[in-house]
Amino acid sequence: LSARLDLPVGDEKSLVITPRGQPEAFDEDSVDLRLGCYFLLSKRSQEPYFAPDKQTATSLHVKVHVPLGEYLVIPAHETVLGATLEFIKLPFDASGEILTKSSVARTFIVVETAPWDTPGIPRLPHT
Amino acid sequence: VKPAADAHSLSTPDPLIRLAVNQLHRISVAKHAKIVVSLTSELGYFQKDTSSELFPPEIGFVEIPYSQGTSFFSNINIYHEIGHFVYQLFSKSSEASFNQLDVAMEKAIKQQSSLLEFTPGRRAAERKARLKGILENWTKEVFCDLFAIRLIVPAFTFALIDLLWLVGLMGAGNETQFDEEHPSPALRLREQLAQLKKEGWWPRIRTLDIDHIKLISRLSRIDRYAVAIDEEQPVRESLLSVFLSVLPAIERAVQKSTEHIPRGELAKEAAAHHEDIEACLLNGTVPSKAVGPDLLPGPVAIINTAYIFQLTKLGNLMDKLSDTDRNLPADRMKWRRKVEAWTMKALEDFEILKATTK
Repeated sequence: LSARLDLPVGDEKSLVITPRGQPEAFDEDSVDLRLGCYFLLSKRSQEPYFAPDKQTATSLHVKVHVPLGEYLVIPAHETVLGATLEFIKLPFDASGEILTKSSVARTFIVVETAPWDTPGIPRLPHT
Repeated sequence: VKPAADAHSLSTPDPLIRLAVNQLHRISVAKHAKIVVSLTSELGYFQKDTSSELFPPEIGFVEIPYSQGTSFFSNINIYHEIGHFVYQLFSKSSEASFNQLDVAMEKAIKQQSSLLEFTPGRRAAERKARLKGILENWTKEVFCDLFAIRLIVPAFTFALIDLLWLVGLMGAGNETQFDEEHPSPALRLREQLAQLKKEGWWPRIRTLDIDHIKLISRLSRIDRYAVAIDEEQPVRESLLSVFLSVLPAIERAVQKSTEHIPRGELAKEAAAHHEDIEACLLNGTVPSKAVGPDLLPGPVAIINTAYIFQLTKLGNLMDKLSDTDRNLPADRMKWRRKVEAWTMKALEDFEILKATTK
């Protein structure tokens, strides 16, 4: 990983992960990602039905910003969509997979709704 | 309360406000100051004078327009409003440079007989107080402009010009005109140019092929101004003369209030990291990638390089994308927003890097 991380950003083989974590976050083939500051919480609908359509995808949630050092309380039986703190841009010849760490899985928290990271697309992966 | 509640961190450029507050805390009279941001329906920026005993003295109130709420670059104008708050704090302190500013103004007034020779009576006292108030308004405006430049360098001048264009104050008739509240845009930009030269920024930006630079260059050559207040011509001329004579004292007060910022350092820092920051933006990457273990470049260099990038090279970024037309306003706005979002993210990342760097 480190060889690719140190390439100039304009190099097509460069891997960007920013802000970069402490060295212990990096392994030979994986990196620990952190939870960012922006979340989408689900909104109660006034309608007696649920239609998973295009409009619902953008209207049935409320965006929340939790400044660093603050905390977010997730109501019981609710889910939250978050984004990583790290901005990631993969090179054209590599893809990535976002996995739940086993230590997190043991708390029955499930992450990853879109675990595949596509080559060349810059983004903040959602979890 | 509602305008302040509405100005939460999703409806304002929170990283920019946090940066400004951090910078404010390095000023001697504002170490424990707090800024309350609220949204206004007006297209303008304001600082509410809190010298009344109703407000705790360490709290400043800054209003930003709803319409510009999340816009990053436009809201750099808040530095001017924070300048008003700092001026208010220094005015109450016993800081020598601010006392000298008062002394310089009194001395200049005494040398202008037309400002003293009113027909005696109640109206004369009122007129004198009003004229003094106008001088103070102009003084504060120039102080706040120069203060903003000391903290955020040319990004403030660019943001101010964008705002003046937006509100229609850069028309031919307005450029040289002083009113009761503000000095003319031409004089303000002339003073800002002088400050940018002292900060080492002007040689770096003067060759940029953008309307902002052409405007600064043209207006700074003007040395004749009009004063649009309800007074006779000799009084208006004397008032202007007094104001022009206190400009050096204003600059000294600005320098004193920001003496912790070494002059020219920010320009050197931005020059050293300009290419790295620009490469990030040109490749659709958050520019915190350019921040090294020495925590350089800092937020001010990133903001200024990003603003200049947005003004000069947004088209280059758009040309790299197959489904984007650099000539379409909607596409330009979309990618301008992206550059702003990357810049804001870089400021947030910088805070994390600063907190975690051993």
